[in-house]
Amino acid sequence: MKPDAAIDIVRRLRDQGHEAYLVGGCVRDMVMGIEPSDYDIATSARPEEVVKIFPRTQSVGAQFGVVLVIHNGHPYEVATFRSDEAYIDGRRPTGVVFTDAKQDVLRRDFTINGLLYDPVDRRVIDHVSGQRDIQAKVVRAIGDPRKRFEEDKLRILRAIRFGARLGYTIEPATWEAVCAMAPQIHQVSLERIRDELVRILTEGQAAHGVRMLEESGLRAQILPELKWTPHLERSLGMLKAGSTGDFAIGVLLRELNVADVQQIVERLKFSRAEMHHIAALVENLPAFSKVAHMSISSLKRFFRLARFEDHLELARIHAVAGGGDSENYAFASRKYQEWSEEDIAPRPLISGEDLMALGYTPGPLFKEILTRVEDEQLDGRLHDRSGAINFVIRHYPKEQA
Amino acid sequence: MRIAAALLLVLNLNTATLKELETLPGVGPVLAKRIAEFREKKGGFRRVEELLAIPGVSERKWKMIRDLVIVRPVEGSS
Repeated sequence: MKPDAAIDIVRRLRDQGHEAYLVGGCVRDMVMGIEPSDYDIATSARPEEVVKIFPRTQSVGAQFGVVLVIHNGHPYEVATFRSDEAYIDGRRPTGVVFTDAKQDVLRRDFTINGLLYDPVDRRVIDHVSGQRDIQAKVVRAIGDPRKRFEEDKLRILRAIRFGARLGYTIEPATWEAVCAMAPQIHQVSLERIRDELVRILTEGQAAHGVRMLEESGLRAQILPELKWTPHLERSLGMLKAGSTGDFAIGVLLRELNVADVQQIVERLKFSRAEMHHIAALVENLPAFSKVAHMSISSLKRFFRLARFEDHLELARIHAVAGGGDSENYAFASRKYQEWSEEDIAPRPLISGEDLMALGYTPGPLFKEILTRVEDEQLDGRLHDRSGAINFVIRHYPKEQA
Repeated sequence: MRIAAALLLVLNLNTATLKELETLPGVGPVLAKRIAEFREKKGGFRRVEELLAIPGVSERKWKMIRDLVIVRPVEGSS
């Protein structure tokens, strides 16, 4: 997204006599030469003043002084400079004090996220040596890492997420704090742990991220069932940034048995649909070793699994990373390309109503007949309605039914 | 009834399909499409309040929707 509207917000705040800057991840991305997806603004203006300056606003964190400003059809978070008071329960500050730009930056998590950008003078304001750390590709806590993690335990995982996402290493003192405090990650809700885990897997360099989880001892805390193997590392290396979360978790857990997978996804409170997909991925992976021997109808039914592309991609990763064999994957992939939607799930040739019209009595036999007819259709032996009706009459004599 | 509906229908704005979005009060096919396009363009929602930036989501409509949706992260900065 272009920064124009965000810069306009900064200008308007300044026109009213306030200080204002772009801040946080968007400045980091700009320094790195990446186009940011969101722009955040930090200002000396109090929330009640921000609300007065812009016609469309919504207070999103009154206690933190954050106002969402809708400008040119886009939402921007405008936050008043603040420093946080003592934190409770390892996650939330008890209160905030409005301060100046420097104090605002010093309360933030990592130096790379602590940069301010003045879009009017076009200069970066760096109170935390964040630019140096971007150059050196390093994730470093601002100030004392243990204190920063003590305030918000989620930052322990966030350090690894930024390391994975950007391909950075973690600075030694920060790393030492991550390792020492790994057992305290349980003070964070499982939903937040899940969300960070998914982001570590889906924002780039998943293998680097999971290796850091392993070496820090966090993996043992969050996923004690999982074993770190060379297979796993190679698999994660093939996981693309931007993958869906449930697919990524499927790749991560593919070598576990289905019961463990079920337990993990329930513990981490994945949604029903995600749980189902993850379990299906792991459960169906072994079927790829049999694809070459399946009947056409069985193979077509296999291809009807929801989001089959994910199953196929997991099989590819499994084969390439070692464990599966690539011939079976290649066979499945070729067939899946070759067959159209219509080939895999064609319109049924006959229905239960047709069977009733033929004089059959509704019952369990209906399902059997219809499945059989569908098999014949999928295998390419039945092509039309009249053929299907003849088939039924021939194979299921009425007196027998 | 309202509680039951809320329990069943809490949607993650970042993964909901067009059909699911249409189950929200005051959201028809056109608005569902706009929400999906907004999500696409922005690389995901960070907050439920961001819905207000979408033409057709009035403050009133947003208040009807806000308890029925959540935002689970896909993308984000700091």
